Amino acid sequence: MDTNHIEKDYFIKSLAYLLHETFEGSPEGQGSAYLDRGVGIFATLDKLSADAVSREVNGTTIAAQIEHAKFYLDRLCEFIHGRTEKVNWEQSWLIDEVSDEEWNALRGTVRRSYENALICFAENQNWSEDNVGMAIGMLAHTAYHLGAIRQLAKAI
Amino acid sequence: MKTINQEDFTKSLFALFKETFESTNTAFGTMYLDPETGFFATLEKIDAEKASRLLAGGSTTIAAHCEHTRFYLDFLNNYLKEDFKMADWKDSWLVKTVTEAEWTTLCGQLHKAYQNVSDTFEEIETWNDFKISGAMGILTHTAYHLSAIRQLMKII
Repeated sequence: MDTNHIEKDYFIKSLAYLLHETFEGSPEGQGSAYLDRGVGIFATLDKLSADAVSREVNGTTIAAQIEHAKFYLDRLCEFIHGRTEKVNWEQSWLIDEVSDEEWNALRGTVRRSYENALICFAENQNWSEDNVGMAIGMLAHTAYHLGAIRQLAKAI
Repeated sequence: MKTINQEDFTKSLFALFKETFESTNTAFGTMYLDPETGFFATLEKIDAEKASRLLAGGSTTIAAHCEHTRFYLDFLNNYLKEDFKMADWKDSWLVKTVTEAEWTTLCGQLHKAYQNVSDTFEEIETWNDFKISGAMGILTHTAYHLSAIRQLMKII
């Protein structure tokens, strides 16, 4: 490896490891990169009811935060795959409240978006500067909203 | 393609790291934060009394989040420089409340830690697996705590 290039595998593995920790928590028996045990997105959301995630705190709800984070992941995967059409980001904030049924459905779509992002990283062959930036941005953005969700969960 | 152009990786990483602290990102506008919501712009709006306020329910103070973030930055900065000292992570949560003088000092230390990591990023010639994962961990961890602080700021 020369100093002008990095190994693609190193980059993809780091992305996948950190996104995995963000959603699923740190793997048992291994060190965590940045989260305490048991505080990934899924474990956090599983403890919350539809009523709790629909409760407004600081002008937002947990349902809104997770829908926005999911929307961002989905759109950036599309951009990495070559999307050129602009995104109306206001559409990422359309959900504020959810029924029990909607909450179950939303958690299911969050899991699919996460899995789709991992597949997107693994299969993408075009790692241009834009695509590298978007992939790292997906990680930072998701961690950012997990940080918000965990504070909101303490406040509701 | 088994490699990625190193400059495509570093430009993206550096820009997102800068955005997290300085609210600006020359490469992309902003990639994942709203304007003026980076670490430094956020802390400028908080005084020592607010930074020390503990919410009912035993949540963590903003000062504690800042010190923990600084501790992580310093630790990972050493790691990136191949100084693999162990850390007692409990030490990263020792600060809970601050006087005005201590708050000024802590914010200064956070600026310094950010600058040190930025300098280290620039100095790295070969981005191997642990440097890539360490650098992306720094970004992810910082984004998580920035968001926590911004939520706390709205509640206190």
